[in-house]
Amino acid sequence: MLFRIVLGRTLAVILVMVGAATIVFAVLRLSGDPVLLYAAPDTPLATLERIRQELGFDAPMYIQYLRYLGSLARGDLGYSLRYEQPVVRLLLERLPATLALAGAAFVIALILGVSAGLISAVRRGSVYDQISVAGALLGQAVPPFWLGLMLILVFGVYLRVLPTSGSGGIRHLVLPAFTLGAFFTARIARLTRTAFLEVLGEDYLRTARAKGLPERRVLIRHAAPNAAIPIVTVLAVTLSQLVGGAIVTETVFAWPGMGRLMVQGVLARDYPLVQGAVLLIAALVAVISFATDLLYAAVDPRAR
Amino acid sequence: MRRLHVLLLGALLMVSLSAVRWSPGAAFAAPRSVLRVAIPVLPRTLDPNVDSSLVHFKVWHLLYDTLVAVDASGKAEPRLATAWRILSPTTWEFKLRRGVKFHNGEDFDAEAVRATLSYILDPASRSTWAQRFTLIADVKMVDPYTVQIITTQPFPLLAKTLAVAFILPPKYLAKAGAGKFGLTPVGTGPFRVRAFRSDEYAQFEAFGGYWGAKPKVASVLMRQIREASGRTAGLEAGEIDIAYEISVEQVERLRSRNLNVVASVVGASYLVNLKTMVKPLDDARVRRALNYATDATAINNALLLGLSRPLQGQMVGPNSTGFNPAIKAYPYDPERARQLLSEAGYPNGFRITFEGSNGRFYKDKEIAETVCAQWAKVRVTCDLVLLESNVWLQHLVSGVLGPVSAAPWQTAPQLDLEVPVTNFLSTGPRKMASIPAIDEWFAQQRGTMNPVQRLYYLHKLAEVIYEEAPVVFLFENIGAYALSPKVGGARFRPDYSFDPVAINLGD
Repeated sequence: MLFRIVLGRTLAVILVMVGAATIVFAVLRLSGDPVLLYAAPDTPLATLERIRQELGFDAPMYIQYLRYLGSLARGDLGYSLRYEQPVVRLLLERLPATLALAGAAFVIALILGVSAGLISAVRRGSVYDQISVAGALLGQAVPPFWLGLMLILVFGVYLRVLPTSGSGGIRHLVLPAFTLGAFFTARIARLTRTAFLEVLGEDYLRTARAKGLPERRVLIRHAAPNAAIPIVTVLAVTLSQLVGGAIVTETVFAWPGMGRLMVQGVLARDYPLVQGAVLLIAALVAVISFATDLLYAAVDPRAR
Repeated sequence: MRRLHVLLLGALLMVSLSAVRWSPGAAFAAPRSVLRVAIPVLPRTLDPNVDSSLVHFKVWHLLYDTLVAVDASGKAEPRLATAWRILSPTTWEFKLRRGVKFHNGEDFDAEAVRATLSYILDPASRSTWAQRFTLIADVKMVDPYTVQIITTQPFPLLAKTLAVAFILPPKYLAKAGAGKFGLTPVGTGPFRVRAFRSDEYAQFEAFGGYWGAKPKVASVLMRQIREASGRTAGLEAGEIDIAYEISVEQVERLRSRNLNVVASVVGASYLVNLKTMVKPLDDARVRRALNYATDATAINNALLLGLSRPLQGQMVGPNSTGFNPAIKAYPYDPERARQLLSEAGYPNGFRITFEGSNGRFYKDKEIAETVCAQWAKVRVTCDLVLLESNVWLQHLVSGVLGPVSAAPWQTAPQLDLEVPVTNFLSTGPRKMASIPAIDEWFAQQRGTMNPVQRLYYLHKLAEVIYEEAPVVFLFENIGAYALSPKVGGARFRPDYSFDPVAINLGD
């Protein structure tokens, strides 16, 4: 049974990867000319034409596509036009920074979001609930670039307790992680509140309380498992979005992650780099949803 | 159960944190002898041939030297060449500095000059400077410290053009190949590279074997911070010593916080390009009318705090060779503009497409919008099309840019009228203009090796450009920098660089 699930999901992952590779190949070629990277304002067109031939971008589209799939099958992501380095090396250099930022933001969102939402639901209508709902709305409404700049001004410039940008230690991670985490914290808090409110009105909880169980036990043993299903779904989606690179946050804090690298690649029409980055992110997302499916099976007997 | 959760979360956090490479951390918490510079963009590799943009010269000047440099007043000054003379209209001889070493110990000599120029001219290296040296036919090594450069036709600007030929070590270059060289470069400059990560930082340390005066700082850290507010926040927090390209809106606030703000003219002239082969721009009266209808001073004051320098009816400023002091700027005179438009047969104005870039140049969108608003007063209506930066470049290089566009055209490092005018010849690949008189005077100044005669031709060229007005003259660009008070000896040059041996941290 488990073997069938794993096999099915693995095939789906491969299908997703091929689909992502094809889409990114097609879309990038609509976006513009990669040879411009070598174009000083006085470069003659003939020179650009020669470079286009050297890079193989003069071949018919289907030939380029077949060549590209061929090298992917050999595990070769190619050579970045902009950085003149292997794409794999560029991505692996930035992957740790992306994972650290995504991981820290995810942990912040998870801890703050779930606990705020849970308390809100249990103390529905209280002052705490109102503050928490208002905070969640604000968290989702505030644009990350503004929040980032405000955090930099307060903690970096005025209080001088945290660095304003760059990477270099856990202290460098605090502000970007909070900036990135704020939005997701708010989303998870709202969802947790709703999920628990729905469950708290159910008959089986009344039964549990009537049996004389303490409230904490009612929440953890009876309410939480049922409220967890939508929360797990959103957490998985959140994690997928986080590993996709937080372009705005990375830019504001000069954080050396993949989001920024990919934007540079897009601006420079660095086909191999963008293709490689999209494939890596697609792979990460596929792995996360794979893991989520397994997690579902754990929390929801119906999914087994 | 709960404790298990906390442990799991803690473990997840630690794993993700420990995955980051922390190595540059030590560099950012730096001792005082490290000059920390925040810049908007690092070059994509450290090979000085990869990008012709002036903004990278601050990096090239740390690592490399050139035979000749051009000072802020436009005069050629000796660097790795100690002297040069013109043997015939197509033969130059350069005497080279002795005892100069590359960072890897290689000797600088005539072979290095020959290898550098052939690297630039080799199509395989895709040097951005190749187009500047197409007139070079041969480089002859007379002895280890004398080279002759033979050109196919007179090339009066050769010496100053060598200010973009950064001298590379022949043996190391051949061994490393272009790709590796760009990551671990070697030059003869006052600093050598210690660490480089594209889009993130480049760290340089003083080179003990430098031939010139010793640098006053032990190392230079250049950090790429895209956001202007991020660069100034770093400066205010004491993490940065120099913030490059600050936005003019921040100037007042930074000054109020006791930081030094310096604005200096850079070698680029902001021009509105008028395609002279497109109706109604084929009529010089229309082009002059658009100059009368444009108030460059107002644009400078409104958008650039009045920091830049309005052009005087010509494509270069007073520190460039070829600047003609007799020519004065077109005054802002909408009445005169309307009159000229009537004479040209457009009493009710006309509509025209203005293809501007969005985010390629500082305030490009705002400048285009303001120019269009000013033209509306003489009933010239712009259809303003703002293009994404690279799409705009694609239109420019393939010669299909709209009838009206705008750009800061480089004049540095040569600081010579010839440089911007190259873009407006009828033979030019960009099809920006076609005016026989401009082609003619351009050819005249190219044809003489006598500097006095050449200057005469350049002045004539400037007059023709004023009369024919293939552009609307706006202003010379500025670079705006914010510095911590401890930074001394920072004079910013027209190529955005600072003197790497003069700059200091006051100790």
